[in-house]
Amino acid sequence: MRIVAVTDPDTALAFRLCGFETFSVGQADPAPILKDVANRKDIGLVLVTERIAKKAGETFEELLSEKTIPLFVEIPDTKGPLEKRKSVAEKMAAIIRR
Amino acid sequence: MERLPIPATKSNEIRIKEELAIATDGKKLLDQKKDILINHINLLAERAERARKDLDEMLTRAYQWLELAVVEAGRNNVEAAGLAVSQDAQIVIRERSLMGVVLPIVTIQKTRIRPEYGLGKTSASMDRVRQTILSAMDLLAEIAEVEVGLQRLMRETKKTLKRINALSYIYIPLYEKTLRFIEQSLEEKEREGLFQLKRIKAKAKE
Repeated sequence: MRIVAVTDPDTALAFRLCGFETFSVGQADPAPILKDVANRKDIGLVLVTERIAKKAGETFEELLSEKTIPLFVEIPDTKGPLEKRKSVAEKMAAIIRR
Repeated sequence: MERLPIPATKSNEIRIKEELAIATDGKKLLDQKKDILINHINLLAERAERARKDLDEMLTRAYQWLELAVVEAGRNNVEAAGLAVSQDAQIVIRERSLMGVVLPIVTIQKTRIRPEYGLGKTSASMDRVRQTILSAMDLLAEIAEVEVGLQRLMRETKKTLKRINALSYIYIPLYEKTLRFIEQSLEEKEREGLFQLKRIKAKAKE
């Protein structure tokens, strides 16, 4: 299956050079694009930059829990990784505390 | 604590006893399931952290080359070069199940890297971008496998915990309470019956 990237225009350049289909999201709302990508049958892995994933917020979370395929993976963009990334231990603690 | 609004009869006593046994068994099973899930989460967490760190480094390097490529050849030319490249990697996803959670097993097949754009107006840094991202593919596969697995395991753990809580704080006490009530009422009735029997016997003797 194919790998695609949903990224900002700058980061898209890098993945274009590897021949991946890229969807660049500028200022627009990334949610509809993510949904379209999730419904395509030929795609196995979607790389999403952390900033876009954050912007898509709940839509992204929903897609993660609804779809077994494609898989979504967050990647850092050209501006570098986001600072506040929750570690697994923190996420676990949040679950158990509830 | 409330009890179930059912009459105190022998058949109800038997039924509630069965329900209680099922609930207790279920709780035990769910506890085991939770332990297995958490074990697996710990296992994956270690792998995830390592792969994440490596991927961040790898991509940062790729982006540095990209920046260089844009400076050397110009953004338009980088874009144009990208158009010429056909997809370098394919992903294969298999699935396995752990306690009903679907975990992906991911492999990424890379095609051999070969020049696909012309030599004019392109630069070595573009090749570097390609090379670096392609070598990050194995890491990407690992991360896809591990992180997606983690998300699903955590969601399942949450669900399991909820069920355990419901059983141990609501259903099991409810059944226990009801059972105790039924048993007491039945005993009471039995005593009453016995007493009446004695009285009848005494009357018959007179």
